Amino acid sequence: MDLRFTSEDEAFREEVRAFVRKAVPADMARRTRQGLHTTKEDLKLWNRILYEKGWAAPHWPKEFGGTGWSALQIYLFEEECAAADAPFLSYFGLRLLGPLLYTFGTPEQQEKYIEDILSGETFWCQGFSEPSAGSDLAAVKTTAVRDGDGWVINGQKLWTTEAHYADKMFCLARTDTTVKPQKGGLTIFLFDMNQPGVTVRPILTLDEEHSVNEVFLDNIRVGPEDVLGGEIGQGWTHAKFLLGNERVTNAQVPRSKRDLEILKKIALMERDSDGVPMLQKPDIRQRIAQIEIDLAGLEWSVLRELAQGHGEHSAPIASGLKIVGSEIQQDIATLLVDLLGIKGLAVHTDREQANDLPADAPDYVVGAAARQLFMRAATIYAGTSEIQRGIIAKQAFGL
Amino acid sequence: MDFSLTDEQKLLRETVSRYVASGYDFQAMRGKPVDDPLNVSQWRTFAELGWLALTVPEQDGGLGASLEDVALFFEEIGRGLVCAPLLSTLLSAIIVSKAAESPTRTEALEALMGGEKKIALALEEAGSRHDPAVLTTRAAQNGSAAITLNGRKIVVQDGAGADGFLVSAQMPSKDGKAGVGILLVPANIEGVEIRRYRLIDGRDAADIGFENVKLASESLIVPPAEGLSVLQDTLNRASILLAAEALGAMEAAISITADYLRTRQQFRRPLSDFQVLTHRLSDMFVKAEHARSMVYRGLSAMNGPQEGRDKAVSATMIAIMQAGDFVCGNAVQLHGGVGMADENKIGHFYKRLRTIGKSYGDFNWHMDRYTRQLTA
Ligand SMILES: Cc1cc2nc3c(=O)[nH]c(=O)nc-3n(C[C@H](O)[C@H](O)[C@H](O)COP(=O)(O)OP(=O)(O)OC[C@H]3O[C@@H](n4cnc5c(N)ncnc54)[C@H](O)[C@@H]3O)c2cc1C
Repeated sequence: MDLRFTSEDEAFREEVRAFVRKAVPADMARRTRQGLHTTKEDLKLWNRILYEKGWAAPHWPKEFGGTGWSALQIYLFEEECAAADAPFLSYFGLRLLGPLLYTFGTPEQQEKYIEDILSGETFWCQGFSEPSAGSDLAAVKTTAVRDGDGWVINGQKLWTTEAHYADKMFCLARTDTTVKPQKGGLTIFLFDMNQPGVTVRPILTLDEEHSVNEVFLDNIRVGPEDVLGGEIGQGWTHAKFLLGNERVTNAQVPRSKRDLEILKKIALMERDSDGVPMLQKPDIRQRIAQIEIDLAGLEWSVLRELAQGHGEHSAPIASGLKIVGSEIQQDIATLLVDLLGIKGLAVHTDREQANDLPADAPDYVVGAAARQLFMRAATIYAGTSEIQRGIIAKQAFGL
Repeated sequence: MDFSLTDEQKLLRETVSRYVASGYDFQAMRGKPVDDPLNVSQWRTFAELGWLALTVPEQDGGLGASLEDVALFFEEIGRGLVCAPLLSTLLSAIIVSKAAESPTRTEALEALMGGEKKIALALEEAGSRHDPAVLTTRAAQNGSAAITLNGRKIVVQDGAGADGFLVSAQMPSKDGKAGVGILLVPANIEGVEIRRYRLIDGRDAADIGFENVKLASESLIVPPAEGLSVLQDTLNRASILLAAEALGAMEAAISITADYLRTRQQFRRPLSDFQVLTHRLSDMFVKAEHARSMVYRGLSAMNGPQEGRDKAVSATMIAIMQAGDFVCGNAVQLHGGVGMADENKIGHFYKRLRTIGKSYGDFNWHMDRYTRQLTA
């Protein structure tokens, strides 16, 4: 046992830091600090910058454009990106579909899609959830019906994040209603968002911002080449693989570490009615300390998991990381708003600062209330906390 | 002790619940500017129903309702998630009615009751953190001549559409001692600068600057020697009324969530088949009951000796905030994605509770105040 980073790890961290700190444009960093949903332009630009450096998807295998770094190095990289206020890259291509494609995709699909995901040329959205299929994903009602050598898709997707940014959707649909969804009844299809029959309706979330959508699919025609992996009926296997990946990234440790750092700076600037910085108040110090300790534990759980090698995550542990990580994100966002006092009640969401900001309000007020509200979703998306607990009970204990 | 309601109290509650049931549409009302026709007609209805006269003394033509009555009223307002500047208005009437007899006083009370004018409380400042004694806004008076007001107030709730403000300001009293005066300042006079924005719960607010604002001496509603104690009393009342509103909101959120668990199906059965969810709902119920007790306790303390009030009100608010976070946070959680959609009402109970938890005293402020009075 050697519970330290090696000197190579540290040298690696320095190398990454040197690049990243310079590479993030200042205005982009400012917007990231606000904690509002990242704009499409920022996602594209940062993706492009990392792509040119060869670092867009360090977690991918080298032959598909990954970096060949160890899992720990990848973690250090993510930590440095977060520390430099770089946005978290669009999730759906790089984190979800990419791994599906290089694991299960046909050579033609890999050829066609992977490079554009890496470069950020193509944005994807995840068409899984529906009005009657959320936690119970197998209940999707969207159908794909055979038509000649292709299929015709009809249905309605819900909560589709970034559907309004996306060029394409990977869509879970029912291809065979005579068998159980989990036993060959589901298939993932890949298709263009930009075609007649696809209608995207924005849904504002509690933060009054637009990140999720409802997507109506009306007679979308797809060919055999659009079936993920080329074989019908593999949808459940693919979805399970994807959801496993989703949980691990959702611990969000690097981001939370950075957010806590920012929070402490703000706690130093905000004062109570006696003029004492909030950071010096015992109750505030205790709340910050509590979060710091929770986060430290989470970080070491992630490190433990990562140090064990690449790719293979234990499902119950990943679920545990997601539960804790999402609650810490909520705690940080809430404490930040509490530090702001009554200012934390205002809706200030102007990314370019301040058309709606009182002249003497500090710019860190922008986005704070909105983020606190949106973070309620952290225990809902990517599998609710209740569902994660169910996974732990089942997979760790067979219950 | 008797916790049962009088017939009059029952009637008061019913007028609110009937109003809400007769088609009050929260989604249509939130975020609407005060001069929107919907708001204008709603406010007229409130005046006709007598709601705006609740806190005006009987001798001034009002209803002179007790704090308990008004709390019951706000409980129903919370249950219906009614989005309107009711609290500012009813608190303003309490403060204005303390003024010495004058045309300004009479006009203001009549305009408040009649719904012709809205007045908001401009108390908080950048450095005040809910402490009414910490303020940099100043009023100066030369003898009994005009008053000059300078300063800046922040997050004045319902301030964007108000016709006037009750402004707290440092002001020497007649004998030269430092004090806090409360002034009635029209919104549309020279030197008043209003910066409007929205709060998370769909209501409006404003930051307001006063630069050499000239006021007649009659605008001094509460003189410097009494201002602070009036403010402290008003803030305690505000907290108790907000607590009652929060209670109604929590109970509504619980009942909506219970219905959702009954109807929403996942895994081919209703969510109510999952015990983790029904137990969560039970915990929500337990917390709301605790909150209800603390509202009654706070109300009782407000009728008791002065010394006990601050501590008891803070205890009530702490209980309310904690219960509110749990109840309304879990109401969202148990709705899944639906809970996150702004077009669904359930998330707005959470937002309203968050707002209540920062209005006229936040968690830190109440906890500080309570612990300062903690005795061994
Ligand atoms: C902001 C946001 C972004 C999203 N982005 C996407 C996206 O890009 N693509 C996509 O496909 N989906 C997306 N989703 C959908 C998300 O995956 C679902 O909301 C989530 O899986 C929960 O499903 P549901 O909303 O239908 O809630 P439900 O499944 O109806 O759950 C309601 C409540 O019941 C509980 N519950 C359900 N089943 C059980 C059980 N068996 N045991 C115990 N409790 C249970 C849940 O935990 C929850 O508290 C997003 C959601 C949000 C909020």
